[in-house]
Amino acid sequence: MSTASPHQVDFSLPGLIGAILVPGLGHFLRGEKRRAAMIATSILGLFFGGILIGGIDAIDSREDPFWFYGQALVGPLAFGVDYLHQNQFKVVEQTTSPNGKVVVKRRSARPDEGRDPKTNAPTPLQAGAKPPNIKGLAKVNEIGTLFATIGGMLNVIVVLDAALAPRGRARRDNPMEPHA
Amino acid sequence: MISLPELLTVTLAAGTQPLAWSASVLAYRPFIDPIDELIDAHRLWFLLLIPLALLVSMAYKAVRIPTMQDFWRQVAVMTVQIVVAIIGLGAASFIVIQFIVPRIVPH
Repeated sequence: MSTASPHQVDFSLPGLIGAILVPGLGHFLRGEKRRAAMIATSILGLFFGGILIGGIDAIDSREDPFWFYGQALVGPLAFGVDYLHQNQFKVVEQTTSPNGKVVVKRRSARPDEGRDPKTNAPTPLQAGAKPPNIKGLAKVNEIGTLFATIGGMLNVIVVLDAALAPRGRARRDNPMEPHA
Repeated sequence: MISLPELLTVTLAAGTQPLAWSASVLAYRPFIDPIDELIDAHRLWFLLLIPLALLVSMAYKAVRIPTMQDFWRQVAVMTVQIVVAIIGLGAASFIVIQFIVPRIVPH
Protein backbone atom coordinates (compact mmCIF):
# COMPACT_ATOMS: atom_id res chain seq x y z
CA MET A 1 0.00 0.00 0.00
CA SER A 2 1.36 3.38 -0.98
CA THR A 3 1.99 5.87 1.81
CA ALA A 4 2.47 8.82 -0.54
CA SER A 5 0.13 11.73 0.01
CA PRO A 6 -2.13 12.50 -2.92
CA HIS A 7 -0.90 16.10 -2.68
CA GLN A 8 2.71 15.13 -3.41
CA VAL A 9 3.58 15.37 -7.08
CA ASP A 10 6.42 14.13 -9.26
CA PHE A 11 7.67 16.35 -12.06
CA SER A 12 8.30 14.48 -15.30
CA LEU A 13 10.06 16.25 -18.18
CA PRO A 14 9.40 13.40 -20.67
CA GLY A 15 5.77 13.48 -19.56
CA LEU A 16 5.58 17.23 -20.19
CA ILE A 17 7.23 17.06 -23.62
CA GLY A 18 5.24 13.99 -24.66
CA ALA A 19 1.93 15.55 -23.64
CA ILE A 20 2.72 18.72 -25.58
CA LEU A 21 3.59 16.69 -28.70
CA VAL A 22 0.63 14.28 -28.77
CA PRO A 23 -2.35 14.12 -26.37
CA GLY A 24 -1.88 11.05 -24.18
CA LEU A 25 1.81 10.50 -24.97
CA GLY A 26 2.90 12.15 -21.73
CA HIS A 27 0.88 9.75 -19.60
CA PHE A 28 2.06 6.82 -21.72
CA LEU A 29 5.67 7.79 -21.02
CA ARG A 30 4.87 7.98 -17.30
CA GLY A 31 3.64 4.37 -17.44
CA GLU A 32 -0.05 5.28 -17.13
CA LYS A 33 -1.11 3.46 -20.26
CA ARG A 34 -4.83 3.21 -19.59
CA ARG A 35 -5.08 6.90 -18.73
CA ALA A 36 -3.06 7.65 -21.87
CA ALA A 37 -5.51 5.68 -24.02
CA MET A 38 -8.53 7.43 -22.51
CA ILE A 39 -6.90 10.87 -22.87
CA ALA A 40 -5.88 10.24 -26.48
CA THR A 41 -9.36 8.95 -27.31
CA SER A 42 -11.11 11.92 -25.73
CA ILE A 43 -8.85 14.80 -26.84
CA LEU A 44 -8.33 13.46 -30.35
CA GLY A 45 -12.00 12.49 -30.47
CA LEU A 46 -12.98 16.09 -29.73
CA PHE A 47 -10.46 17.50 -32.20
CA PHE A 48 -11.20 15.16 -35.10
CA GLY A 49 -14.88 15.03 -34.14
CA GLY A 50 -14.93 18.79 -34.64
CA ILE A 51 -13.35 18.40 -38.07
CA LEU A 52 -15.81 15.62 -38.93
CA ILE A 53 -18.75 17.85 -37.97
CA GLY A 54 -17.57 21.18 -39.38
CA GLY A 55 -15.20 19.98 -42.08
CA ILE A 56 -11.59 21.12 -42.31
CA ASP A 57 -12.96 24.68 -42.28
CA ALA A 58 -13.40 24.27 -38.50
CA ILE A 59 -9.62 24.73 -38.13
CA ASP A 60 -8.69 28.09 -39.59
CA SER A 61 -6.03 30.29 -38.02
CA ARG A 62 -6.64 33.13 -40.48
CA GLU A 63 -10.41 33.45 -40.52
CA ASP A 64 -11.08 32.31 -36.93
CA PRO A 65 -7.88 33.27 -35.07
CA PHE A 66 -9.40 33.43 -31.59
CA TRP A 67 -10.89 29.95 -31.91
CA PHE A 68 -7.58 28.70 -33.27
CA TYR A 69 -5.77 29.92 -30.14
CA GLY A 70 -7.80 27.35 -28.21
CA GLN A 71 -7.48 24.65 -30.86
CA ALA A 72 -3.69 25.12 -31.02
CA LEU A 73 -3.48 23.79 -27.46
CA VAL A 74 -4.07 20.30 -28.90
CA GLY A 75 -0.45 20.52 -30.06
CA PRO A 76 1.46 20.27 -33.34
CA LEU A 77 -1.44 18.32 -34.82
CA ALA A 78 -3.60 21.47 -34.86
CA PHE A 79 -0.88 23.44 -36.64
CA GLY A 80 -0.52 20.61 -39.17
CA VAL A 81 -4.24 20.53 -39.94
CA ASP A 82 -4.29 24.32 -40.23
CA TYR A 83 -1.26 24.26 -42.55
CA LEU A 84 -3.02 21.66 -44.70
CA HIS A 85 -6.17 23.79 -44.77
CA GLN A 86 -4.34 27.00 -45.70
CA ASN A 87 -2.08 25.45 -48.34
CA GLN A 88 -4.00 22.54 -49.85
CA PHE A 89 -7.60 23.76 -49.79
CA LYS A 90 -7.68 27.55 -49.94
CA VAL A 91 -7.34 29.45 -53.20
CA VAL A 92 -4.89 32.31 -53.73
CA GLU A 93 -6.44 35.30 -55.40
CA GLN A 94 -4.53 38.28 -56.77
CA THR A 95 -6.36 41.57 -57.02
CA THR A 96 -5.23 45.10 -57.73
CA SER A 97 -6.15 47.79 -55.26
CA PRO A 98 -7.33 51.26 -56.43
CA ASN A 99 -3.81 52.64 -55.88
CA GLY A 100 -2.33 50.02 -58.23
CA LYS A 101 -0.90 47.75 -55.57
CA VAL A 102 -1.21 43.98 -56.14
CA VAL A 103 -2.93 42.31 -53.19
CA VAL A 104 -2.56 38.55 -52.70
CA LYS A 105 -5.39 37.06 -50.70
CA ARG A 106 -5.79 33.47 -49.50
CA ARG A 107 -9.42 32.49 -49.06
CA SER A 108 -11.81 29.56 -49.13
CA ALA A 109 -13.10 28.66 -52.59
CA ARG A 110 -16.66 29.66 -53.32
CA PRO A 111 -19.19 26.92 -54.11
CA ASP A 112 -18.78 27.62 -57.85
CA GLU A 113 -14.98 27.66 -57.80
CA GLY A 114 -12.29 25.05 -58.18
CA ARG A 115 -8.58 25.33 -57.44
CA ASP A 116 -5.68 25.21 -59.85
CA PRO A 117 -3.25 22.68 -58.33
CA LYS A 118 -0.18 24.52 -59.68
CA THR A 119 -0.95 28.16 -58.98
CA ASN A 120 -3.65 27.66 -56.30
CA ALA A 121 -5.69 30.27 -58.18
CA PRO A 122 -9.47 29.98 -58.24
CA THR A 123 -10.84 28.41 -61.42
CA PRO A 124 -14.39 28.01 -62.73
CA LEU A 125 -15.80 24.74 -61.45
CA GLN A 126 -16.06 21.96 -64.04
CA ALA A 127 -19.35 20.11 -64.44
CA GLY A 128 -19.71 17.43 -61.76
CA ALA A 129 -16.68 18.69 -59.83
CA LYS A 130 -16.71 20.05 -56.29
CA PRO A 131 -14.75 22.90 -54.73
CA PRO A 132 -11.61 21.92 -52.73
CA ASN A 133 -13.71 21.96 -49.57
CA ILE A 134 -17.14 23.20 -48.58
CA LYS A 135 -17.38 25.86 -45.90
CA GLY A 136 -19.39 24.91 -42.86
CA LEU A 137 -22.24 27.25 -42.08
CA ALA A 138 -24.29 28.13 -39.02
CA LYS A 139 -24.59 25.51 -36.26
CA VAL A 140 -22.53 22.84 -38.01
CA ASN A 141 -19.59 25.24 -38.26
CA GLU A 142 -20.08 26.56 -34.74
CA ILE A 143 -20.30 23.13 -33.12
CA GLY A 144 -17.39 21.72 -35.13
CA THR A 145 -15.21 24.66 -34.12
CA LEU A 146 -16.36 24.35 -30.52
CA PHE A 147 -15.54 20.62 -30.33
CA ALA A 148 -11.96 21.20 -31.49
CA THR A 149 -11.49 24.22 -29.20
CA ILE A 150 -12.75 22.37 -26.13
CA GLY A 151 -10.33 19.55 -27.01
CA GLY A 152 -7.47 22.04 -26.96
CA MET A 153 -8.52 23.62 -23.68
CA LEU A 154 -8.87 20.24 -21.98
CA ASN A 155 -5.42 19.34 -23.24
CA VAL A 156 -3.97 22.08 -21.01
CA ILE A 157 -5.19 20.12 -17.98
CA VAL A 158 -3.77 16.95 -19.52
CA VAL A 159 -0.34 18.55 -20.09
CA LEU A 160 -0.21 19.85 -16.52
CA ASP A 161 -1.23 16.43 -15.18
CA ALA A 162 1.38 14.65 -17.32
CA ALA A 163 4.08 16.98 -16.01
CA LEU A 164 2.95 17.01 -12.37
CA ALA A 165 1.06 13.80 -11.61
CA PRO A 166 0.36 12.69 -8.04
CA ARG A 167 3.17 10.55 -6.69
CA GLY A 168 2.62 6.80 -7.03
CA ARG A 169 -0.43 7.02 -9.30
CA ALA A 170 1.08 4.86 -12.05
CA ARG A 171 1.81 2.18 -9.42
CA ARG A 172 -1.77 2.31 -8.16
CA ASP A 173 -3.09 2.00 -11.73
CA ASN A 174 -0.84 -0.96 -12.57
CA PRO A 175 -0.06 -2.74 -9.28
CA MET A 176 1.24 -5.86 -11.06
CA GLU A 177 3.80 -4.04 -13.23
CA PRO A 178 7.30 -3.21 -11.96
CA HIS A 179 8.02 0.53 -11.60
CA ALA A 180 11.27 2.39 -11.17
CA MET B 1 -44.27 34.42 -28.20
CA ILE B 2 -43.93 30.67 -28.62
CA SER B 3 -45.58 28.60 -25.90
CA LEU B 4 -43.82 25.75 -24.11
CA PRO B 5 -46.13 23.08 -25.62
CA GLU B 6 -45.46 24.50 -29.10
CA LEU B 7 -41.71 24.47 -28.50
CA LEU B 8 -41.81 20.88 -27.24
CA THR B 9 -43.97 19.81 -30.19
CA VAL B 10 -41.58 21.36 -32.71
CA THR B 11 -38.50 19.92 -31.00
CA LEU B 12 -39.92 16.42 -30.65
CA ALA B 13 -41.25 16.44 -34.21
CA ALA B 14 -37.79 17.40 -35.48
CA GLY B 15 -36.21 14.56 -33.54
CA THR B 16 -38.64 11.88 -34.70
CA GLN B 17 -38.65 12.67 -38.41
CA PRO B 18 -36.48 10.38 -40.56
CA LEU B 19 -33.11 11.81 -41.45
CA ALA B 20 -33.10 13.59 -44.76
CA TRP B 21 -30.11 12.25 -46.64
CA SER B 22 -28.46 14.83 -48.80
CA ALA B 23 -28.47 14.39 -52.57
CA SER B 24 -24.67 14.57 -52.54
CA VAL B 25 -24.09 11.62 -50.18
CA LEU B 26 -21.79 9.85 -52.62
CA ALA B 27 -19.68 12.95 -53.04
CA TYR B 28 -19.34 13.57 -49.30
CA ARG B 29 -15.72 13.81 -48.20
CA PRO B 30 -15.37 13.10 -44.45
CA PHE B 31 -13.16 15.55 -42.51
CA ILE B 32 -13.11 17.91 -45.53
CA ASP B 33 -16.77 18.79 -46.00
CA PRO B 34 -19.10 19.60 -43.09
CA ILE B 35 -21.34 16.76 -41.98
CA ASP B 36 -24.48 18.51 -43.22
CA GLU B 37 -23.40 17.39 -46.69
CA LEU B 38 -24.27 13.88 -45.48
CA ILE B 39 -27.13 14.32 -43.02
CA ASP B 40 -29.37 17.19 -41.99
CA ALA B 41 -27.32 18.04 -38.92
CA HIS B 42 -28.89 21.49 -38.64
CA ARG B 43 -32.06 19.79 -37.43
CA LEU B 44 -30.47 17.43 -34.90
CA TRP B 45 -27.55 19.58 -33.77
CA PHE B 46 -28.61 19.42 -30.11
CA LEU B 47 -27.89 15.67 -30.02
CA LEU B 48 -24.20 16.51 -30.42
CA LEU B 49 -24.27 17.56 -26.76
CA ILE B 50 -24.12 13.87 -25.81
CA PRO B 51 -20.80 12.98 -27.50
CA LEU B 52 -19.42 16.37 -26.39
CA ALA B 53 -20.32 15.69 -22.76
CA LEU B 54 -18.99 12.11 -22.97
CA LEU B 55 -15.61 13.12 -24.41
CA VAL B 56 -15.20 16.03 -21.96
CA SER B 57 -16.01 13.67 -19.08
CA MET B 58 -13.50 11.08 -20.32
CA ALA B 59 -10.68 13.64 -20.52
CA TYR B 60 -11.51 15.21 -17.15
CA LYS B 61 -11.91 11.96 -15.26
CA ALA B 62 -8.77 10.46 -16.81
CA VAL B 63 -6.68 13.14 -15.07
CA ARG B 64 -8.84 13.56 -11.97
CA ILE B 65 -9.52 10.15 -10.46
CA PRO B 66 -6.87 8.48 -8.26
CA THR B 67 -7.29 5.02 -9.82
CA MET B 68 -8.80 3.89 -13.09
CA GLN B 69 -10.90 1.11 -11.55
CA ASP B 70 -14.08 3.17 -11.37
CA PHE B 71 -13.42 5.15 -14.55
CA TRP B 72 -16.45 4.34 -16.72
CA ARG B 73 -19.00 4.72 -13.91
CA GLN B 74 -17.61 8.16 -13.06
CA VAL B 75 -17.58 9.13 -16.73
CA ALA B 76 -21.23 8.06 -17.08
CA VAL B 77 -22.25 10.05 -14.00
CA MET B 78 -20.45 13.20 -15.17
CA THR B 79 -21.87 12.86 -18.70
CA VAL B 80 -25.41 12.69 -17.31
CA GLN B 81 -24.67 15.65 -15.00
CA ILE B 82 -23.48 17.79 -17.92
CA VAL B 83 -26.43 16.88 -20.15
CA VAL B 84 -28.96 17.50 -17.37
CA ALA B 85 -27.28 20.77 -16.39
CA ILE B 86 -27.32 22.05 -19.98
CA ILE B 87 -30.99 21.09 -20.36
CA GLY B 88 -31.67 22.92 -17.09
CA LEU B 89 -29.81 26.00 -18.28
CA GLY B 90 -31.79 25.90 -21.51
CA ALA B 91 -35.05 25.62 -19.59
CA ALA B 92 -34.02 28.47 -17.28
CA SER B 93 -33.12 30.66 -20.26
CA PHE B 94 -36.47 29.85 -21.84
CA ILE B 95 -38.35 30.85 -18.68
CA VAL B 96 -36.39 34.09 -18.28
CA ILE B 97 -36.78 35.16 -21.90
CA GLN B 98 -40.35 34.04 -22.48
CA PHE B 99 -41.99 34.78 -19.12
CA ILE B 100 -39.88 36.99 -16.85
CA VAL B 101 -38.44 39.54 -19.29
CA PRO B 102 -41.86 40.37 -20.84
CA ARG B 103 -43.17 41.12 -17.33
CA ILE B 104 -40.37 43.49 -16.32
CA VAL B 105 -39.86 45.28 -19.63
CA PRO B 106 -42.48 48.00 -20.14
CA HIS B 107 -44.59 47.59 -23.28
